[in-house]
Amino acid sequence: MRKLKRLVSIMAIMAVVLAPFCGSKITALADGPTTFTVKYVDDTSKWRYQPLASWDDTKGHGYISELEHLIKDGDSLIIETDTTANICKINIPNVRLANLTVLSGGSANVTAKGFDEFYALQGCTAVVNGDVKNAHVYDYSIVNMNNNVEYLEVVNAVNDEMRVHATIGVLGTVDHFYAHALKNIHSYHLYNFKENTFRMNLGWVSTPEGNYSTTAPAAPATPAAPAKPSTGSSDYDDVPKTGEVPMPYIPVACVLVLCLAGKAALRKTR
Amino acid sequence: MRERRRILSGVLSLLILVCLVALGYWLWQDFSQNRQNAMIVEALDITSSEPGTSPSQTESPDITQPEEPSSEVPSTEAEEAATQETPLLLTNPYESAFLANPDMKAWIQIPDTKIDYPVMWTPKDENYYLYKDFEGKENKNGCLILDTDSCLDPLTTNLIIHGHNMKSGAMFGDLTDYEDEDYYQKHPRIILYTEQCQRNYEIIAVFRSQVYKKTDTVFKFYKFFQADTQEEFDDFYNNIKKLSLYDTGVTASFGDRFITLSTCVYHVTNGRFVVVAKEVEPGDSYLPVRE
Repeated sequence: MRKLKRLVSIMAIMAVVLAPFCGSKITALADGPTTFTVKYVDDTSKWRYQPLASWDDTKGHGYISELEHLIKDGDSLIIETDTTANICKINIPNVRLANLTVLSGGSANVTAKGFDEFYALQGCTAVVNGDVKNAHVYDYSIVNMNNNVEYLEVVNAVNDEMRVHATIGVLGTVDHFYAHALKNIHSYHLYNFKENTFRMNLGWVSTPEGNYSTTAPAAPATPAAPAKPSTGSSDYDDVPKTGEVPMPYIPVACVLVLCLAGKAALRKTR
Repeated sequence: MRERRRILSGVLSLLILVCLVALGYWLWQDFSQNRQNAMIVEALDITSSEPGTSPSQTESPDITQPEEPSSEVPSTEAEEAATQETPLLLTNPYESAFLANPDMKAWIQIPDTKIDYPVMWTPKDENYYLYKDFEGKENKNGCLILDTDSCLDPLTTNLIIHGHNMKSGAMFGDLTDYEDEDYYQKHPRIILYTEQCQRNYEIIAVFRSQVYKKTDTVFKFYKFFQADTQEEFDDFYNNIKKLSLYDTGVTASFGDRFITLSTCVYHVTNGRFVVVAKEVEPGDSYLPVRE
């Protein structure tokens, strides 16, 4: 019985040690897009994150530095409302976000490789570093976008408002700008703002004429391939993978050396 | 205490044995697959079997030539001109390889390099030969694969061939040597033998790229197969010239054909090393391989 127990223990140890090295392929699990929410937590006096679409006070939270390591291309980020804290700084220069949303009253400074969608909800303050495909800025927001913007929409969704009131600066170019309020008395529809010329102050565009166009550019002759939203391993184009599959020589050799060293140490202690 | 030491020593001995067996097995597998691959290619490759023989020098009794006019009848100038214009059809030097596996559509050779391999085309499953040798057996070297969107008959503007970047130098392992301009100067040409003819290419661009996301709107070299308009041609040509690591001095114009060789590199995720060559003067034409 004792011998059997020993044998079982040995087999278990072997399984634990060798399991990571079994097989010649190391496959990573393909994760789908994740939404992260960031909020200033008074107890910690810091901005913290949860991997959730909305903050849950009953659940745990992690450091922003951890978020910056976890977040990946195609993920979304929501900055919660908090008017008492310092601005939330997120630095993820190698990640392209599917969506950045700064909630009403929130303050954020986010650096990323790029943003597919950026929402600045009513009354927020945001600085965004990275090209933005579609930006939607809601009323009374103060937003600086320090790179290029393809489509900038400024909205006043309050029923009785007749114009927009956002304040926006863009250091890059703006391809298409559309500002409108629900009653739509005052709106803009402009194109091709030159680099570092787009300025809007409380809803009024102060960019000098000559730095933008009032007419839409001609449609491109060959549009880019349609973007189907996809997740995990199908995000990339389908091209034969011609890399050499690595054999786990090094990890196994390390285990061998450690075992030999262990045996030598055991002999010495006898 | 003694008992614990004995157990630990036993465990360590077992682990050492397992590690040695695993390392030995993988090394043997590596060696045998490399040897298997080399043997198959050597058996198929006519240039290695007959020293001093090049495909263009090979002539068989099957050479088709027009009948020579009778010596009693003086030949006219028109008859002589007709004789000169009729192309000489040779036996395909890789006929046995084409017949051995119908999935093989071409043979590629870069003179004075290791790149001398069959090229497989399986439109129903592009990756079939990715980890299989010419005979269809599992082999980490795989075969060179002609992209399913490329076509030899009818011929598309660009033929894209993918191959593994093997540390041993096999397949497209030596393709990255083209990063050195001196290497390009010594190996500027690529030869492709199809069932119909020999195609000669001159390298026009060498660059590093990558496989992008489906939503990325950037130049994707692996998406260019056909240029039906000047605009489509210019888009490809201008981009490869811009990306090229050095200026080869070779130019192209609308109507020219290309071959693109692609292999994995690791400078970025899904990185690729790419060599593009332009088709130049035609080579030999061959008799049909299959009736």
